[in-house]
Amino acid sequence: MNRDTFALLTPVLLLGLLLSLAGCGGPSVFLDRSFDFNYVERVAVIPFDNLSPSQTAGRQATLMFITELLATETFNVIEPGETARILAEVNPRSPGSLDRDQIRTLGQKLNAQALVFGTVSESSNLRNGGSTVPTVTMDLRMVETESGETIWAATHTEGRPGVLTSLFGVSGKSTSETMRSCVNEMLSTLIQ
Amino acid sequence: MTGKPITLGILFLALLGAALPAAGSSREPYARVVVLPWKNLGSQAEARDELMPEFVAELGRAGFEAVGMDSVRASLRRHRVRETGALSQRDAWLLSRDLGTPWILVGALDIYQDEPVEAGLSARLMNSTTGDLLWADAFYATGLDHAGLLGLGEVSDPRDLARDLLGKLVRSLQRTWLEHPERIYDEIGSQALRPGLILVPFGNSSATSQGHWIVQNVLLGLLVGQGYRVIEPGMATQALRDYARFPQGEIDLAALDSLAARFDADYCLTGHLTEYRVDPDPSGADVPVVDLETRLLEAATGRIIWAGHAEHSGADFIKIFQVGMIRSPGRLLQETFARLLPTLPAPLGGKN
Repeated sequence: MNRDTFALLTPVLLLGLLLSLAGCGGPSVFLDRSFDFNYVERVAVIPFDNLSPSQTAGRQATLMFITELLATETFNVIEPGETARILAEVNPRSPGSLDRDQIRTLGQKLNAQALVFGTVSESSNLRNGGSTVPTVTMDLRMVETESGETIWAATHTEGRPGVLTSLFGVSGKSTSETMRSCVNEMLSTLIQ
Repeated sequence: MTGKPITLGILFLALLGAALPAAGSSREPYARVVVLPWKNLGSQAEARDELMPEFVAELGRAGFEAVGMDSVRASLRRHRVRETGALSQRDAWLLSRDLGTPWILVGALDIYQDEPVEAGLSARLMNSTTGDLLWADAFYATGLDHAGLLGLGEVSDPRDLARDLLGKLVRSLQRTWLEHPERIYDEIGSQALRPGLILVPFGNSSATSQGHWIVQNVLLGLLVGQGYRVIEPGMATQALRDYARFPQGEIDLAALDSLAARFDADYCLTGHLTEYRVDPDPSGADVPVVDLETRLLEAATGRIIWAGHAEHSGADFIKIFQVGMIRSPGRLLQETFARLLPTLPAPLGGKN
């Protein structure tokens, strides 16, 4: 490769690298390193809030998270129907806005050491040139039921257009796959 | 507390005596069966009315005697049974008593459409005394399933597809009847050997409003085929209503406890259907897509002991060119579950 060819290719390669980096980026994470996660045996997943235009995104994300959390074989997850029943007894203003007393009550009634809250902020198909890219943004947090303290929190966007999408209009993933990738990316920051 | 099971047992044996042929009478039918009017999940009501007599005739050729449809309709009217796609314990009991046989065959026309040509049928045979399913199966097909070059082999009339499917359904029933006599005489003692399972209706956020029904019908076939003692879903649903519960895709533990005690069930399976649709591929062909979550609860503890997720497109099954492509969403659901269910923890995943 002569010097002229290299000079010509360098900006193209750099552009490609920048575009690919634009589609990447891991979750932003808080992890309470002083907390002993071995103490958490049973976890209840509170139905996720949904701020996205997709009506079903909250429910879908909640169930996906439960399946993926179970698949890690790290915690026992309480059956969502049982969580819903006890949650109805506690009667919060909204499932995602429990106060400290309600968190403690829920923990005692469900015999759960931690609750997981979540929000689907975005679940949509973004247009990118000639193609659409499913994009999902989620916020998750795990709260210890005794103290009401957050012991893990993460936020992540999955599905930003990458280099393949930008250059060739190739998207590849469905919304559901994108959401699952988002959940798994975030879970990987909790369970190594 | 043991009075009810004994009474049920005596009634079952009395009905069984009336419903099964005498030994040695080879020309006698295997059993008298109450065939309920099918639930119609398709859009064409007249298709069901056309196909049902053919199904009954096919049953007769396979060695089963269907109770006359006029008697069945009269009994349904007498007891004000309107929902024939799922029977409550009470309704099943009353029909059995009226019509003199414990065997009730519940069926559904799951899919029936002209464009694209597609049909799907499901059915199950219930022991009305115990609420257990002796047999369940479902078949789905599209007009393009066997199409070759230049459109050879393409079926253009859904009636032809449906006729083929109802033949398959009846042969499946006949095979199970002959190969699993222990299920016929379950009440007498072998019941405890098979894990009892309750199927709680799936949640459905897919664009297909009937999708969860098709999930149920597909799952019943696979689970009964795997050797589970599956409780008739209509009975489980009615029992849940009695506890003022209308679960879709989840169940609380108090309801699970009550159900398990009432039906002597060991497990409960439920889940959620996220996607059930048909997308056009780049060549313009229809490709079905399904996406679902499911989990199994242990009735004794209420613990989730297994959970699975599956997402498939019909194109995932292509072996070469378009060969192997699954075009029917119903059949894609079957393939999806057929791959997922063997991952159930041992001994649940094993076949009987």
